[in-house]
Amino acid sequence: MHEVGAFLSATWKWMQANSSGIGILLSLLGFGITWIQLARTRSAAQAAERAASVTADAIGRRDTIADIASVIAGLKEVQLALRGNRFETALLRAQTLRESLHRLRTRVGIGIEERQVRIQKMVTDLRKLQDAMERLLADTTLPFTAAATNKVLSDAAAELSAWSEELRFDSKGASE
Amino acid sequence: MIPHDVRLILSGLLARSQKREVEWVESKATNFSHFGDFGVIFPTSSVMIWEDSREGTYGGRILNSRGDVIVSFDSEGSGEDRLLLEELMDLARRKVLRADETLAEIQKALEGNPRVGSLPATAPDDDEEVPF
Repeated sequence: MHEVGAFLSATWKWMQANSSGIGILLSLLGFGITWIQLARTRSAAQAAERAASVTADAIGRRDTIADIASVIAGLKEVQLALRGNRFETALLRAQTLRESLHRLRTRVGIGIEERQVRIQKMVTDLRKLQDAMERLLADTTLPFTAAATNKVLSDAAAELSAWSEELRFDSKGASE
Repeated sequence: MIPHDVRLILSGLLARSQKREVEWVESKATNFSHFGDFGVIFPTSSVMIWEDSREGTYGGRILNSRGDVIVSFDSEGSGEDRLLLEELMDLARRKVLRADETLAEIQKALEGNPRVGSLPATAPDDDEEVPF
């Protein structure tokens, strides 16, 4: 505190020695105006930064919602393929769905551990479904009913749909 | 056969399962009735074990975050490995079927109620004729 006082005193002395009284007043006035302008600019920059962040978040959420919709559509395709005993189609679609779910992991709104665990469960079920399809394709005499597997896929689609609704609701809240 | 590093993981799962600290899930996606199939799901990996009742063997896999198989193992060739997987399967089944809770409920009912195993009394037969 003492050091600051000494610094201000020394500055004042220097200004008296090197400037006229009016010059000092004008300098102080200029400093005040500059200070106000800087403060306004800073708050405007902060507001712009916040707006950019909100927009980026909203775009990220929309991307997530679109990706979830794509996964749900894929799950329905697998269900249809299983009902029609088109095991090769189901196998190939399950493979791409695992990739889509893996990409979904890094999307906005999916990062929490609980959702990561649920995605891992879906990925695991799809892997097992692929194995089952491979066995069925290798041995066509194996009995298979689509009902149990389709129930697992329906549960996954319902859960993803709930996440999508939650994200849609949150994004509206964020944009308002 | 179970690789050494996987055996350590399975032994850890066994120890935690014995303390009832593992959430085992049953998989219904396989759709083959002779497979008993259980797993533990982590955020970016899964440990799956199964029993093939037709062949009388045990096996398992560890999957990564994409669902790719990073390790496969089975009980063949080692009595120790078979015992480990058998114990894990048993604990997983008990957890999924809520066996411990069910047994505890029965025990509680046996200790607390003066009469156990009876069904609620049914309403006496109504002799009145149905008016239609």
